[in-house]
Amino acid sequence: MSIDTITQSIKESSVFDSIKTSYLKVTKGLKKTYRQSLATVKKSSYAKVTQSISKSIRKEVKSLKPYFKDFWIFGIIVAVIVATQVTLAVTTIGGIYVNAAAFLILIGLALWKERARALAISAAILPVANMISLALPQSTEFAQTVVFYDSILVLALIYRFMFVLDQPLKETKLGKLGYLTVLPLMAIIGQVLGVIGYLMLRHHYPFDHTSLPLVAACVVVFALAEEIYFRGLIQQRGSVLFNPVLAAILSLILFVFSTIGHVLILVPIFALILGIALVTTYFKKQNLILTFTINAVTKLAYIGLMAGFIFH
Amino acid sequence: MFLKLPVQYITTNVHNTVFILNTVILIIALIVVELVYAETPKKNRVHLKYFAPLFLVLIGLLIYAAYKQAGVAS
Repeated sequence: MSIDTITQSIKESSVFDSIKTSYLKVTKGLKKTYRQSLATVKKSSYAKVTQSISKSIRKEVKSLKPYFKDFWIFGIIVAVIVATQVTLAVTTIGGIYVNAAAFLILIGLALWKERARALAISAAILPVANMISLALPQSTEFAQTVVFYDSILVLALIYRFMFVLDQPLKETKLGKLGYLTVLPLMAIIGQVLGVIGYLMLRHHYPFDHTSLPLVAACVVVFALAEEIYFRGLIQQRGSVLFNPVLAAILSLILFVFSTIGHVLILVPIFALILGIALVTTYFKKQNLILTFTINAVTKLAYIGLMAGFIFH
Repeated sequence: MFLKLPVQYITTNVHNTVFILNTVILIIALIVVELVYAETPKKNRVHLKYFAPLFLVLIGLLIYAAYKQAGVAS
């Protein structure tokens, strides 16, 4: 019997068929199990990955929540003040209506939410100052600006006094050595900003036909009014309500939009640069003397450069 | 750099609109104070003082408007 005959007989026998069938069954079963286990592994790892991603997203959102606490109050204040200033610049009569509406919205907010009261009333000072200036027309732009700044200064001082009486502020006074070292630095920053201001606004001096010593004396009061209002009231009250970064942004936005005019875009751009320096200083030190030094020196340097190079 | 009233010219029309709106705001304020605070217990009314300076300014402007009107009339 040859080998071929033996192989043929094995092939034809039922033993081979049964081995073949069982082999196929086993491989099929193995394949199925393999596929099932692969699917399970895939499914579980996918679920795990998505779960961990959603968990980390939720964690991030939760960690961001304190930064955006009471964000809607921030939004309302920014929206009404920006709307007022822009509409007044575009159309005066329409702007007066928006100004009155802004005042009512801010007073309504102050009445409605007790925690937003101090900030909403502080922000309402701007529409009131607009109203005072519009009600008392002056013959020169300088006199008009003085009325505007004085109304802001008086109201800001009254409100700072009222709010400080209720909630004592954190001690932010520097020591003698601190002032001796930091004040010259602030003066240098102010000088640099004054030069930038001169380069940007030398062709747009707003107070023509007014004596320079008078302007120089008044800009110091202007700087005081700006600091007491924007840093001492808006940013300080804002940081009680929101995250300090958000309060700084609010103060910056109001400051920039208060300098908006009907033609010139350079003034708000320079106000943005100056505002960033001022809000950052107040954010770091919470000290009005430092921000006042920067602001006053910037304005004086600008007036000085104008006197030296343009008017001489 | 300098804050400003973003208005080029303050005409008589602008002046009159401001005073009319000023009066409207004062009337609304009086109604709100009457409606909201008339029923509020006295100890909860302390924060009303926060609104006083703003409304005093508006009253001052109204008195000035009346004075100007009287000057024009005479």
